[in-house]
Amino acid sequence: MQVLGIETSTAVISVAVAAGAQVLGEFSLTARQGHMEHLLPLIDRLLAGLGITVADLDGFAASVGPGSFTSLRVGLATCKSLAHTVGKPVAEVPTLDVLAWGLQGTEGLICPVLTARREEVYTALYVNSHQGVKRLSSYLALNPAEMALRLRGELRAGITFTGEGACKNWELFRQYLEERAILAGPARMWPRAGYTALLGTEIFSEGEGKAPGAMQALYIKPPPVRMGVGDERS
Amino acid sequence: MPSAWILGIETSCDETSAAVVGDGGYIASNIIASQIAVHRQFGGVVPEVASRQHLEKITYVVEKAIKDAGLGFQDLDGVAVTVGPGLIGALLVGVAAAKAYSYALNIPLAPVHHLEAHLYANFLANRELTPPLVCLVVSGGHTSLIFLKDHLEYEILGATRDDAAGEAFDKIARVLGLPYPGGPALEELAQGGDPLAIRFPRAWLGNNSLEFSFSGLKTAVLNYLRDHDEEKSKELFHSDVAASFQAAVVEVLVKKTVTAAKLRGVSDVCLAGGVAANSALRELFEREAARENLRFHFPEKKLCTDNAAMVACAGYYHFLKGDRAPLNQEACASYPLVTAK
Repeated sequence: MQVLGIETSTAVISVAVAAGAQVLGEFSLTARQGHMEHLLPLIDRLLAGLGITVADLDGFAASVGPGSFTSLRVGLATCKSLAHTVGKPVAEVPTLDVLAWGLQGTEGLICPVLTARREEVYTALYVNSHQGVKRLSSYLALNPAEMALRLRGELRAGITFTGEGACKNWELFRQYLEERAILAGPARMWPRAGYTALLGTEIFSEGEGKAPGAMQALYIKPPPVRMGVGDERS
Repeated sequence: MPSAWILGIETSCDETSAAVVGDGGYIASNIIASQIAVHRQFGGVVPEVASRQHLEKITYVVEKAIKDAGLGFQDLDGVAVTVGPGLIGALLVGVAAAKAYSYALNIPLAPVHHLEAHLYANFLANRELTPPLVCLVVSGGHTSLIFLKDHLEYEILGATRDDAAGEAFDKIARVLGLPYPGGPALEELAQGGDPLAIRFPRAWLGNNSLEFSFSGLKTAVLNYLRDHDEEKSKELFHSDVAASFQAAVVEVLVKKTVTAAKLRGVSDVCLAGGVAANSALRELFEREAARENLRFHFPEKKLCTDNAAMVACAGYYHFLKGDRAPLNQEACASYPLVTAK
């Protein structure tokens, strides 16, 4: 089974193809803007490099967030439409899972952190187990200081932070958690589509694949709206 | 049977739409998922809400467009998509989807300008129509007089200096306490009123000017309402204000379009955009055009508001010209119809 993975939740645009438990290829690129510009050309180069076409893929996985709303939608709209064209299923992979799986094998707790709006972060807690990485909490949006304070009360073992939000808040985490806080290595710090494709493959093998139209983003936060401030168009 | 089937996709504002059009004129399907009910509770289009809705609906809308056309993906010859101008988050969904469909099907993609799509709705409505012509595009976001020299060759003769006509409709509708979307609601209210009851100002902006301005009119209406506070309870008062305001907008739109047609020496004038669905505008247009010996064209109401059939139609002419969007095609919130030479 060959699965395409698409990751556009952060400034990293990443695409990969996995076959079973193996990642056959992965291209990644950092671009704060320009997900639209780069995504399809990256997919095209990846498939060409592997000597396959969209029709050779058996499933399409995308990181569905949380993350930047706009860049997420570029990835999801692309993923749904590719899958729709060839009549194959899609898999929704939470971005925090992708980041946590990047630290598979790490002892103690794993905590991916992504920047959200309004001085908040998206996060969840994971632990390594013999079946892989296991999620312990729900997906959360909260203030990083509040998050560090909560962790300080409950934490016994070390905790490894990953994701761009971990870098941004590293001093804070270090201050609250002292030497129990560990920062992931820079090469494992960003979400890679290889994991999106692998986790997508698992979702398909468990029969949890969806029809392309049903694919949804995991926003966590509702849209910011105030009454009567919508754009006026007729 | 048409020889070329184009899939059109439109997500520039608050309608998720997909259509299949044959040879630029035969509408096999035109599916529009409107978000009006969702946005009504906020009193206007909320961009983030619109973007989320587009992502949720896009696949179903495309699916239905192809199915209702009685076709399959393999029958399509090209994809056309609105790349701008519009709400960027909304446009992105349609452009990303259109690029993916075109790439996976290995068929070309045509980038379409939103105003151009509105103008081309006239070619859907009337297969005999040919350039040169003058078209007034009026919607919530635009008021533009366009001279179409030949297919896809545009000259902007005039545009609004401030509010778009539809924007003025929406603002006055809101002040009159009408529900969103305000344009159609105001038109309905105006039907019971006297268009000559109040003489609101018309902004001509000088002899033969083809520019528009509606902010002065808007202020005049607001001032009038403020100065006649005691009459607010009268049943006819609001209808008269709506009818008189509408008459002021419509008169300027029609007269300037006729002037433009004369200046360019064309015998065909067209109407396009969401406000083109307004009956008062159509009626005056018809009268004035007949008086000036101009042929007047307008699309049916469904083709005036945002829809993907008009996008597919414009896309067809792009394909004839050999236009192809690259794999790195972007969505553009502001996108000029005529690029500076």
